[in-house]
Amino acid sequence: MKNNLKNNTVKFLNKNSRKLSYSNSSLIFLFTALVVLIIIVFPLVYIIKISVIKDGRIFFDGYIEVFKDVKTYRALKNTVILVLGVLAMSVPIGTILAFIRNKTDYKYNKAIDYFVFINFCIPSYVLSVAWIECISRGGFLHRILKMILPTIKYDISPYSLTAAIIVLSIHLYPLVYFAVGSGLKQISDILEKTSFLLGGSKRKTILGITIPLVYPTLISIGFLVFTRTIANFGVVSNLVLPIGTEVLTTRIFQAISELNLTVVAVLSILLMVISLAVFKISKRVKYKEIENTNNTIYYYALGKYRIGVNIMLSIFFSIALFIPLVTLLISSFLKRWGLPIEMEYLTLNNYKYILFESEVTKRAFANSIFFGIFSATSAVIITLFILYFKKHNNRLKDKLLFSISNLPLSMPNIVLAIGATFAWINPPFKLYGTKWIIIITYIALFIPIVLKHASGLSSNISLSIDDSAKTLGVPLIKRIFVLYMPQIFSGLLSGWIICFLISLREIPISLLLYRKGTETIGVMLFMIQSNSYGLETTSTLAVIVIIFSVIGNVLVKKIVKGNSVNERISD
Amino acid sequence: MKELVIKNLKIEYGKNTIINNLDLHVKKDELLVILGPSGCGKSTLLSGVSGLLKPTNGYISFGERIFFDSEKKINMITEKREIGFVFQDYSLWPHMTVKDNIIYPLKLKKIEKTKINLILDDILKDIELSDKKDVYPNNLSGGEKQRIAIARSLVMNPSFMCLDEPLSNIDPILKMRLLKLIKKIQIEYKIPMIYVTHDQHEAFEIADRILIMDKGEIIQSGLPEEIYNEPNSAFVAKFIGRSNIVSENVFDRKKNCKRLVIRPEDIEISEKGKYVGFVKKKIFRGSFVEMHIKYNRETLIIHVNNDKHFVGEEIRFNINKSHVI
Repeated sequence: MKNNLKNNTVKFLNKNSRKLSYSNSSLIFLFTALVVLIIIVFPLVYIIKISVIKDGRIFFDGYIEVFKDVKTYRALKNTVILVLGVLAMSVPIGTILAFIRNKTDYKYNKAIDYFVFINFCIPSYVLSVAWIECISRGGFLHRILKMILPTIKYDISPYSLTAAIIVLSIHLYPLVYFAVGSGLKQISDILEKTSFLLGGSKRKTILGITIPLVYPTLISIGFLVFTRTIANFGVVSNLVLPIGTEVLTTRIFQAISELNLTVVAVLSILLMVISLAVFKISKRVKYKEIENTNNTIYYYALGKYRIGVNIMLSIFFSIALFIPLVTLLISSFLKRWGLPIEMEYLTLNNYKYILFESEVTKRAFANSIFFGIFSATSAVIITLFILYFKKHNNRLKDKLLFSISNLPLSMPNIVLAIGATFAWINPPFKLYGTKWIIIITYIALFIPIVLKHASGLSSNISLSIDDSAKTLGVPLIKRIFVLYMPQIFSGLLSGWIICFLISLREIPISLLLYRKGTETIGVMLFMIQSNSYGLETTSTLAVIVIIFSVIGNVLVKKIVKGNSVNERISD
Repeated sequence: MKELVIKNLKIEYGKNTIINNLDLHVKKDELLVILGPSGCGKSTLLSGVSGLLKPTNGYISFGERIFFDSEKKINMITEKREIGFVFQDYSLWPHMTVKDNIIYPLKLKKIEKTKINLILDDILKDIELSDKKDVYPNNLSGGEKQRIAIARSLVMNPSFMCLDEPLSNIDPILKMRLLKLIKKIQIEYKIPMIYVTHDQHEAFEIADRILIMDKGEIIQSGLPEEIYNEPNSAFVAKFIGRSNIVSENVFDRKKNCKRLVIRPEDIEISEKGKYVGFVKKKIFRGSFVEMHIKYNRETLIIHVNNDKHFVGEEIRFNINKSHVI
């Protein structure tokens, strides 16, 4: 029996040892590295190339032109105003809500969670549509005011930088809420109790201990809000561009329409450098970690402030959530936006048209779903290889591959799209105008998102699992797919769903790269309104996108077991 | 005279009674150690005294100041009680330097800056951490953190101090140093202290008086030597030191006999010993050898200085001291 076992073991090892060759690992690494280089580095190099090389010679005229142009400074100034405005609004809103939810005895704290979550699921562009439907002449606000005061002169414009600040703040405050909330939960009750014991009042303890303890979280989430705002295209193009005001992203868009490619490249680099710098600074800021060692949280009693808090929250969620949702919902059932809200003007035709009749929207749905599934799955496979090599080999080249793969996280989507346009417009890789250019750019966008979701799980895996498999003669591919993948599966799956959801709402990449036949839902959201369809069709599409988004995010929440989902889901 | 008075104190968590009708006096300048197993209610008692928990019933006062009186519906808020409290987990604020942590209560009292600096320098000298003023807590060792926590409680000039297992996370050698420091501070600052622990060695090292608690009630209170030599129950005898708890009739054939507590060091092996048993087991414990002696139906533990007996050997012994419980 002993001899039998010995013979069988030897046979097994011999059979598998051929597959354990070094070249197998190198081949997979080479393949992964090539994919990353082609889809991430190659477009980036092209942007830089176009910004400095013309007719085969190096020149910096593009940079001189951009930095001499007063429009650049105007766009920069507006971008700074936009970013500061959004920070000034979203950070306090998110912090106050997180405080009420996590640090007080507020009775309906679960409701806050749900409301913020739904707010989080509404794409920023959709919010800007709701804003226009509410505020514009003939909008719901105007109609309500007219009912109360028939002679009122209404001259509020929905288009302004302030409007973009408000809409983006409503869109981004959930990120602050999730991050600050988890920070507040880390504060051990004894830190606050000690303040009381030393004579600190509630007010002094909140301002001197509780809030300062989440400063590190506030700083890091502030950086995230900064990069999201600076990269936003949908809201600014909808609310700021119509009045001729420009920010960096719309300036790039304008330069594209003027076919001034050098300026496009230079502005893209400028936008990317700012984003990258902020991203790097946020990574370098050293925080003093807090750790809740006894897992108990101190809850401040609201007492006499309870009524005030109720009123404040009711007003806030009415403005940030219910009014936009109700506005979109009502508009989606109207025969034509602007008609009175009466039974005779209500219809289901908009839904029928979008879901079953319009060939373009049906195609857009099919495209978005296909692009999403294909890109998210590809990104998951590439990420699996990147993480495996980083975890088990951790050589310089593995670390480098990991860092490069994370690059798109700090690149605005519009820059990714421009890089793809430059890289894939000419032979030998002429992909422009095909669906593959969108898919490839989506993969580049998705890899760091999946990485972020799965790398935490990967770091918790013991290296001895792979080592023991090696000693048992398990080949590399099996080690990756049968042993390693199941251990990080929940991270990969939640990353996959997030990526899929992004593909259902993403605007800048598909808008720049689509051609007839490759339209996406994002393009339709943007274009339906731009053409003669009217806001009721945009609203219908928006409602459908919100429903998809809520379902998807609920799924992700279930998979990651209650962890907040604050990944890059917006455009 | 300023002393802490607790009468009829009852603290409940939902339907569970954690502290049950407890009476306690802590004298001025006294260091009272409350000793008891985990979950006996000793930390809850401190939370009740300091106002972090609202008792269900009872009376708590310090000198003239009534902290809590359920009959008169008085419940002074924590921040007004001026009680120095040191937690097991240090509770240093990680976003503040050592200096900022210590002067926090002084700033709350709006004491002028020059005076604050003087107090800070003095207290840092007392706890031997003058060079750590600008360091953040995450760069300090456990012992240093706990000294800072003690200093922070002291600068507010507290009425008395509560220390809730302050040295549980400290290694044994450093623990002895810190115990000496706490005792020194208590004597120099003349502050009554309640020190809660489950470690009897800590209790014997610093206690003026020890109070044994179990299931929310005081089981015994007395001087350390009283508690050790005259435990009033099997629980105390088992909890403090090692002991043999045997029935009196093991040695003398009496009816209605009581139980005896015999400390291992009070059993002496002698060739002319009155009792005969045999060695069942030997354990080397460093400075002594622990022998398990089978006698009648019981196994007695004996501590001896030498290792000359072997397992199975018949030995004779005398009992020098025993205590009836």
